[in-house]
Amino acid sequence: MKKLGIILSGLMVVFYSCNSSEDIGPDLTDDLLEITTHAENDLNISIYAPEKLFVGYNEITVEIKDTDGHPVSGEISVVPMMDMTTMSHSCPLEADQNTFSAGIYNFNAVFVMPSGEMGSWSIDFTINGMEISVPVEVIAPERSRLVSFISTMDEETKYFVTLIGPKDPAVGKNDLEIAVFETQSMMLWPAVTTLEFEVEPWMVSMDHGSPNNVAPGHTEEGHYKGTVNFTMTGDWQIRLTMTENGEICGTPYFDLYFQ
Amino acid sequence: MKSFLIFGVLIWSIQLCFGQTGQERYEAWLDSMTNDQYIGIQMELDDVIITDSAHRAHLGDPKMLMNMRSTDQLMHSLPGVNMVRRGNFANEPMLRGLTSERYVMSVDGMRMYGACTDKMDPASSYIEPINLRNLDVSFGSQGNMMGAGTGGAINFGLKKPVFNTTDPLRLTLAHNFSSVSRGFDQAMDVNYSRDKWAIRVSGVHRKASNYTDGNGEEVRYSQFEKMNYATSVNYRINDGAMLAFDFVGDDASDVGYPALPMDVAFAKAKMFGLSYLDDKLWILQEPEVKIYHNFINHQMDDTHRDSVAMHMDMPGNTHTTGGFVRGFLQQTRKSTIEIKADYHKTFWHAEMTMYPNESGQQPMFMLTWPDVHRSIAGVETAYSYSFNARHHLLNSARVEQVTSYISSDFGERQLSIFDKSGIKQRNNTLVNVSSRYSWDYNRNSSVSLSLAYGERVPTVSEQYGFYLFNQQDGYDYLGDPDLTKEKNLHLEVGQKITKPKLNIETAVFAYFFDDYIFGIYDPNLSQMTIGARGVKWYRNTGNARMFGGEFSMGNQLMSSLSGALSAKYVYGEDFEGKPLPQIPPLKISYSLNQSFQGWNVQPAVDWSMAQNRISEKFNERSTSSFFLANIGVSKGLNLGVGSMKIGLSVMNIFDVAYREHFDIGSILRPGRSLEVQLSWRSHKL
Ligand SMILES: [Cu+2]
Ligand SMILES: [Cu+2]
Repeated sequence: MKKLGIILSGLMVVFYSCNSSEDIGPDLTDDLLEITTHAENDLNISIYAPEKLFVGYNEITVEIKDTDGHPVSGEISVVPMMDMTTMSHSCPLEADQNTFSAGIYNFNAVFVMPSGEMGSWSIDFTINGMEISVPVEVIAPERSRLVSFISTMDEETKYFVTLIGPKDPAVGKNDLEIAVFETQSMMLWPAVTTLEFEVEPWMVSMDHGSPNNVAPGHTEEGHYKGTVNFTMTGDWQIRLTMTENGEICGTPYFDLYFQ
Repeated sequence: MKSFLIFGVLIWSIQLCFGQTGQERYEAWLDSMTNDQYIGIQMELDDVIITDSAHRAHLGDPKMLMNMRSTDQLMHSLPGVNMVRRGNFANEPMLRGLTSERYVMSVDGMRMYGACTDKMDPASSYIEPINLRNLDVSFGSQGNMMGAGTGGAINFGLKKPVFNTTDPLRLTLAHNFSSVSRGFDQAMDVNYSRDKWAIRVSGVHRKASNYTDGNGEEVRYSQFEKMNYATSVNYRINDGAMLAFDFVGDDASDVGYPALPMDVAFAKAKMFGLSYLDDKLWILQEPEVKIYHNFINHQMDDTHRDSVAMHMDMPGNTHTTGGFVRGFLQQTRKSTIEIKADYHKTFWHAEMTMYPNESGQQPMFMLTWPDVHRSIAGVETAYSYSFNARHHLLNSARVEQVTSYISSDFGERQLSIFDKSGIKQRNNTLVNVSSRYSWDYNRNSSVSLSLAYGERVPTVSEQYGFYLFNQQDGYDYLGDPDLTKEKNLHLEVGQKITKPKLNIETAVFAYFFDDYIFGIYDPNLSQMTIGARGVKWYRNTGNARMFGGEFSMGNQLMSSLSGALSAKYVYGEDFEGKPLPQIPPLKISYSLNQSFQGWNVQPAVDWSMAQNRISEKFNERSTSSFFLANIGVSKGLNLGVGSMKIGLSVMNIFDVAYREHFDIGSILRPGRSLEVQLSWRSHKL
């Protein structure tokens, strides 16, 4: 009986603490990793992502609160910037909304370089008229998820191809998603929507592919979706052949590994 | 196909049945078991009773007296049987050109499935001749009381302990030496009996090095070692009823498979069976109720090979549990009705882990048998009827329900690549019916006509196998869960002459397959195995046909001299009218047996025709003709204590370099070998 009492009171503490947290919004750390928090101009800005920010396609959640911990709403704009001392540049960005509510704002950014000696990244916000720059760290993932190259067709266009999915690759059928951008200026990185692809997952160590893959086709905003199949666990390469108007403009590939 | 079925049902509806193969022997055994003064079955390596469903007793064939080293060698010279070699161990029996996919293999009625995706371990490899009491072989779709198949059945009957109150303890020791592989075998067999119970314990150890082929070349990776241990206990509950327990364990280790890219680290099998036998149980006469369990663990190994493209671990295992009830509903001079109801379920798992050579690359893994479950429930009946002393009809029918599925999510994901599913249960109902009419047209001679129809489910490899490399044609094979059953309409004509000094037996058969399961190349798929030529799917390919026959003649030339001639031939065509692969060419054997004063001399020759009808789909090459000569001498003698038998033989006297057409790879069979056999037993000859 005594034991039960202890367990019950324990449960109540849990319930109580759950309830109390509702005022300050959902706990984003349930699914996401807190990347950084930044306080400026009476705002607390926290940046969340599924994993550490990396070179490639990042889905970022921003939590904006006032100093009392209450969620804020309003207008927002965002620009990731890399400062490389002699110059600075942005990167491909998917941030369509210019308002946010309940303290939450989502956007996607394709970091094109890792932070390091070459330079450092920040995410520059304008929130309700206030400019706030949040420095962030961008790492190079163990297996590259972004390939950049100059088109072999016109030898001019610089493409950035990023692997979005499969997020959790496994043996069998996997949804393939990639996104393609080009760089037109330091600040202008538009999506490329006119490409065609062929895909071949390849196991380099055994020199074999896999059957029944579906080449990624354009869906929207430079995103291309298809299917890749893996016949076994291990190190695979997703090999892409990228064409525009029937001419090959590049053959990017991504390495991935799963058990 | 429908016409096949209707035809089959027609046969059955005549309501005339089939007398069974093991039947007489079985009765005799039961009789003997209830007799106190039963004189034991001789415990030697050379007394196995061999029968087939046409009641042709092939033993007594003096050829069997020599070179009885292994079950493989024993089966090798049977009519209609060939042994497919992958090395010097665990050959795969082939019945009239059909390999193990198509026939049913069992040990004392216990179904058992090899655990190797590369067919390195047919159930026969776990059986030693010293444990064999009888060997039943039936061909095609003829009723066999074992299971549904399109190619026949093999049942290894285990040797039982003997009740013998006057001589309660019997011991046999046997040794073999084979020069070609420097192979030494030891075997021991002990039988002990009391009033109510009898026990038999046996052990075999065999070890061989690499053998030498007919070119004098050492065949690397052809070594093997194994231990086999078995025990059987019979307990008499009363005059009529008996409990019988059998256990067989077999551990092979370091077995080389020169024809394959991998060897075997170990292959371990354990079998347990418990039977209840009685005079009468409810409506059954001479019933047997049996439950059994067996399991096999198999571990392939390539670490001893000089050069491998990639190291791999390939373990596999199977577990089977089952039981059956069989007995006679009726047994009169005019007719007998035997029935059997059986059930077993089996689990298969095989996997493959590949280790890349480059550092920094991670191991790779796939399931080659994705946790397959299959349960089979069948009822079978055989009915034999004699119109009069000369006209006999034998009929049998079997209906079998087969349920198959896989339980691995990983395996299901593998199948998702091909938009297939294995988790969904698949049910097949199999029907086997056969009818045989025989006419004793004079005192010494009879002819028979058989019509039979059989069906089989795809094997686990054919249904669920995932990139199984076949060394023979060089392709990776994919199973197809949606394969349908294969059918065989089987016609056979037999003739038999039995005179005091002359025996002639002839059988001519035709098989008409429908939905014949065969690997078909898919150019859209890329190979998985390094060096493979591509990928084949197992498919139902429509019609295939096989024709052939066996002939054997035994002849008493003089009072102490006899001759035996035998021939076997198979012709096969696939769905395109092209030759089927692995078809044995014509083979003719002749042996003489001269005996005097306890001595036995036996020269024998084998001639095999060339095989030029080759399957291009299967990447076959033609095989040339060869001629072999063997000679054996044996002598039995009584000693102060017990008796002894000495055998000396020279196999492949002319050191011919040869391979059989159906052998895997280009490995040659053993060259000249001197075989020495010594056996001693505790009782007189
Ligand atoms: Cu691989
Ligand atoms: Cu194996």
